[in-house]
Amino acid sequence: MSAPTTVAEPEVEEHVEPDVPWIVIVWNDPINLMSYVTWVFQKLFGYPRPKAEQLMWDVHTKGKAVVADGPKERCEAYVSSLHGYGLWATLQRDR
Amino acid sequence: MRISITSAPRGGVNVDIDKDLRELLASLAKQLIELIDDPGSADHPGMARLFPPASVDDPMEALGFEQLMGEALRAGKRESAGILRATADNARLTGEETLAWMRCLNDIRLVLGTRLDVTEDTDIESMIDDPLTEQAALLYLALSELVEMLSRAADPS
Repeated sequence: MSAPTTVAEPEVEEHVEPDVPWIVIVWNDPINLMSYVTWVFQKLFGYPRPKAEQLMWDVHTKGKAVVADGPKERCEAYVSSLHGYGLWATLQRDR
Repeated sequence: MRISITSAPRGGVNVDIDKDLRELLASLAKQLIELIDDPGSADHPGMARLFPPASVDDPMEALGFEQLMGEALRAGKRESAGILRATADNARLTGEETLAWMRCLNDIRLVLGTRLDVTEDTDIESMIDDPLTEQAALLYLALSELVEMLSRAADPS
């Protein structure tokens, strides 16, 4: 399995409003497989494999990790996508 | 149990598994749809795992998210399960079908793992030695192997 050669930017990157920061958190859970979680991070965020693996390890060892940030609408869309993949994700204001 | 999954072009995979397992996966996908569509399953622990709250400390936020995204999420999981059922006998899956298999098999693992009360410390192997949990534990392991192999074989780019 090789790392993807292109990295897709999140679709609504240009609409980031720095004054309304929200973050998306993925929580560790005992059922989802490490390989699957890494794959989802690559697929959904377009992250290269090393970055996706690092995020997965952060989730696994620290219990949670911030995987995305931006305006609320974008974070809601990401949480919805993550729930679609069966990951345990939440959103909150970045405080 | 024979499980072999290899990469195919454009995010697809070749699936080499027994016919019995294919029939079982199709049946499980059907059961997942029934669970999602059952009005009486609202309090089912598996449903709580399939559709977790979108906020840890703000019930209103979680409720708003459920109202905004809930139906689309249920439709998405139904659709993935439907694609798995329709392609359960296929030797090769397209990228879209592979994605549906991964999502649906993982959803089934979530429901089954919740039922088995799987935690970080759970020893699935020991559940196989217990006649009460043997079948469910064997199924859980088979699903884990399938999702693992799909994650390795399918190109996420």
